[in-house]
Amino acid sequence: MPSALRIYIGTTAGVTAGLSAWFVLSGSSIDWRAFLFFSLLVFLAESFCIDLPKAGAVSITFTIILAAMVLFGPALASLSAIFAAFIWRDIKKGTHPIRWIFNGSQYSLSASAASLTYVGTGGVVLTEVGRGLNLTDFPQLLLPITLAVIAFFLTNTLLVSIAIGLAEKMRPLSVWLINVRWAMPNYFALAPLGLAIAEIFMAAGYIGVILIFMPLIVARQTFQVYMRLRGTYLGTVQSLIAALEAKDPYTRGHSERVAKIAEQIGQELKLGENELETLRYAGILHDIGKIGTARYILRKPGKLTEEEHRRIRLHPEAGALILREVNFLNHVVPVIFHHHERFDGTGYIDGVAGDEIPYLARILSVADAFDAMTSPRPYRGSLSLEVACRELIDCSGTHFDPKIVQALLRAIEYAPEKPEIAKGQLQFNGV
Amino acid sequence: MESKHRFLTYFNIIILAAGLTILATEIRSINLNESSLVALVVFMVIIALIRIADVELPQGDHVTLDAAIVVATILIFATPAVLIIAAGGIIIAEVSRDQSSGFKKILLPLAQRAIIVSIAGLWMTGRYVTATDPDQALTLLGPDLAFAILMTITFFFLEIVFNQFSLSQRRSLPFIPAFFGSLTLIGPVYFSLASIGILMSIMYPSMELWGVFLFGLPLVVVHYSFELFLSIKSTYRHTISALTRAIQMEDYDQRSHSERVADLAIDIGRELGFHGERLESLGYASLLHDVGKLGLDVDSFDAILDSQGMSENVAPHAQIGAEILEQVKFLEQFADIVRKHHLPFSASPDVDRRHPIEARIIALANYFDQLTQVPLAESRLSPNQAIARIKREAMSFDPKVIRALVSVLKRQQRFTVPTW
Repeated sequence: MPSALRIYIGTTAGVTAGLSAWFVLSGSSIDWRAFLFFSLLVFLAESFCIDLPKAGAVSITFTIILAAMVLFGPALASLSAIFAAFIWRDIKKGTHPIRWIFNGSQYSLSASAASLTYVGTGGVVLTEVGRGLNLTDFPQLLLPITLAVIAFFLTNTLLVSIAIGLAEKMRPLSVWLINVRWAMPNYFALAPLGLAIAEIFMAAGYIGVILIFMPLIVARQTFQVYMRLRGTYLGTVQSLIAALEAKDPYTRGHSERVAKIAEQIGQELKLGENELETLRYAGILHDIGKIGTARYILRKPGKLTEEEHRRIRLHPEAGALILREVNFLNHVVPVIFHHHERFDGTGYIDGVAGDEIPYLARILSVADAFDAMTSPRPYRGSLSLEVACRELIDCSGTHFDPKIVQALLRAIEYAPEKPEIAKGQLQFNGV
Repeated sequence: MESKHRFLTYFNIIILAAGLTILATEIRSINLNESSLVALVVFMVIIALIRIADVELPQGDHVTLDAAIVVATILIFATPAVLIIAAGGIIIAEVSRDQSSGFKKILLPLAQRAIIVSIAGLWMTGRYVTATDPDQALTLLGPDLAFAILMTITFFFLEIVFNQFSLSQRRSLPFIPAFFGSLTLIGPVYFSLASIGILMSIMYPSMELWGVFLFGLPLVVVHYSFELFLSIKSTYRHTISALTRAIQMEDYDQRSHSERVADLAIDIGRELGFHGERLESLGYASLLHDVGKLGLDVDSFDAILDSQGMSENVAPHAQIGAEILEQVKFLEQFADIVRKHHLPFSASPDVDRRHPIEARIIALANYFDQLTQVPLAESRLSPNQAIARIKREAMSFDPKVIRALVSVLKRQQRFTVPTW
C-alpha cells in the first residue's frame, strides 16, 4: 500500500475521531437506544448491499443515515454511520482492517457534512419538535434536504475517489467523474425512502422500521440469487457448447472463438454493452442448429451431395427454432437466423441484402468466416492470417459488409502492405 | 373424466362453504360513511391492479401479491368490509383481463378468499381495528400485534393450502409435495407481504390512503425481484431443454424424447415425495440423460458398441454424457445420475448411495417412453402393455419406482386397472 494512501486514510480517520469526540462531549444529548438501533441498521444495510452486474454495488446505507439525520440530528447520524465500517462479508473474509477504518470514517464524515448542512439551512429535527412530517412541511424542507443530499454525495464520492486514485495511481478527478454519472440519480432516488423511514419511525416506532425492512431484505436476497444465476448463465451455456463441440476435433472451440472475434469487432464499431452481450451469446450459440446434424456430413472430406448441402444449409433456421422458446435470448434469435446471409443477397436463409440483414448478423458472419478460414477443416489445413484477410477483403461488398471487414482488420491490426499472396487459389465456401 | 368430476365436487363444496361463511359474518351489519366508502373503492382498485400484474409460477399457478393489501384491510376495517373489498378487487381484475375468463374462474378465487378472510379474521374479533378508532392508532403495537401476526400466519397458510389443493385437484397431482414446494418457494415472499400489510394498517390512521401508495414501493420491489428470479430460472430450464432438442437432429418442433422423459420422471418424483430443488434437479438430469449420444457417431462402430454396451449395462453414452456434464459447473451435480441411468437395479442396504434414486427413476421413465413412443405405430405399446412388460422384467428396475409410475398413470387416467 502506498504511503500516501496510508497518510490519507490516517488523516480521514483522525478527523472522524475528532468530530465524534466533539459530538459526544459537546453535550448534545444522544438517545443511546436509538443510536444502537440505527447503528445496527447501518451495519445490516452495508452488509446486505446489492452487487451490480457491471460496476460496484448499491447499498441503502445512505437512506438510513438520512433518516437518522432527520429524526435525531447530526450527532446520532454521524456516530451511527461509523458502523458502516463493519461489513459482514469483510469480517468473514478477514479483509485488511484499514479498509474498515476508511469505510467507517468516510461514511461518518459524509453524514456529518450532510446533517450539519441540513441543520444549518433550517431543517427540522423531528424528535426535537416531537411530531411527524406534514404535507405543509415539504416546501420548507425541500431546500435543506436537497442540500444535505448534495453535501453527502460530494463528501462521499470525493473521499472515495481520492482513495481509489491513490491506490490505483489514477487521477482522482477522472475517477470521480466516472462515479458521479451513475451515482447521483441513485442518491436522489433513495432520499424519499429515507424520509419515509423517518415518518414511519415517528408514527410506529422501532417495530415500524423493522417491518419496512423485512420485505426489502427478502427482495434483496431474491435479487442476489437472480444476479448470481444470471452471472453464471453465459458460463453454463458456453461450457456446455464447448463440451459438446469437444467431441469433434474440427469444431473444438469454434463457437467460443467466434464469440470473441465478434465481440472485438463490436467493440471496434463502438457498440453498446447490451449489443455486445447479444453478440457474445449469438457467437456461442450460432451453430447450435448444427450440433444435431449428422456428424458424418460435417466431417466428410470432399464434396457433399445435394441433400447433404440442403441439410447443412438449414442449420441457421434450426438454431433459431431451437432458441425461439428461450425468452432471455430473444435478441439473439434473428442474429443466428441470418448469420449466413450475404451482403449482396445471395446467401441463405431469406436471401436478404445490405441493410436488411440485421447489423449484428453481418458482424457474426464475418467473425464466423474468419474463424472458419483460420482453423483446419477436413478437406484442407488452416489458412494463414494473411490469406484469410485477403479473402475477406476480396469478398467485401459481395459476401460481407465492407465496413465490418474493415473493423475486423483494425481489431486484429492487420497491415495490408504485407507480401501479397496469389489470389483465387482457394474456394471459400463460408460454412 | 374422473378428475374433472372430482374438481367439480371440490368446486361446489368451496362455493357452499363460502356462502355459509358470508352468511355467518352478517355482511348487513356493515355501516359505511362517505369517506370509508372512498377508501373501500381505492383498496378494491389497488387489489385489482396488483392481481392483473400477478406472477406466474413454474407449476402453472399464480402468486398474487394482493394478499398484502387484504391483510392490511383485515386490520383496518372489520371482516364484512374486507369481504366486499376482496370480492370487488377480484371481480374487477378478472373482468378487465384480456382473455375472457369463465364464470368459474372468477367464482373459485372469490369463494376461497371469502373463506380465508373469514377464518383468519376470527383472530381479530373483538380486538382493535384501526379505522374505527383512529385516536388509538398505536394500540396495535401492544399485545394486539401478536394476534395480528397470528392472523397473517393463518391467512397465508390457508392461502397456500387452498391454492395448492385446487391446483392438485385440477392437474391430478399429489397434494403434500405441492404444498411443501409452494411453501419453500413463495414463503419468503408471503413473509414480506405480511410485514407490509401490518405496517400499512399501523400507518393508516396517520397517513390514510397515502400510506397505501407509499408501501406500494416495497411491494413493487418484492414483485419485481421475485419475477426476475423466476424468469432466470425458467431461462435455464428452457435453455437446457432447447439444447437437448438440438441433440435430436430432426423434428425440432416436437417435444423430444428427453422432454417426455423429464415430464414423466418429475411426475414419478412427485409421487415419491420430491419437492422444490430436488424435483428441479431431477428434471435437469432427465433432460440431459442422453446428452452423451452426441459423442457417438450414428453410423459408426461407436453406435454398435453403444447398443452392445447397453446389454452389458455399461452404456458408453451414459459415460460420455457424464463426462460432458462434469465440465460444466452448473451441471456437474447431475453427472453421476446420468452416468448411472442404465445401471440395473439390485437391492442392497447401501443402494441409495451406490445408485441414486434419481438414476433409477430416469431408467424407468426412459424405458417406458421407449416402449410407448416408438415411431412405428404398430410396435408401439399401450401404457397397460408397457407396464406388463416392465413387470415381467422387474429385476432391472426398482419396485418402489415401478409402483410410483403405476400410480402416476392411474392418476392421469392413462392406465386402466384391469378388472377381473
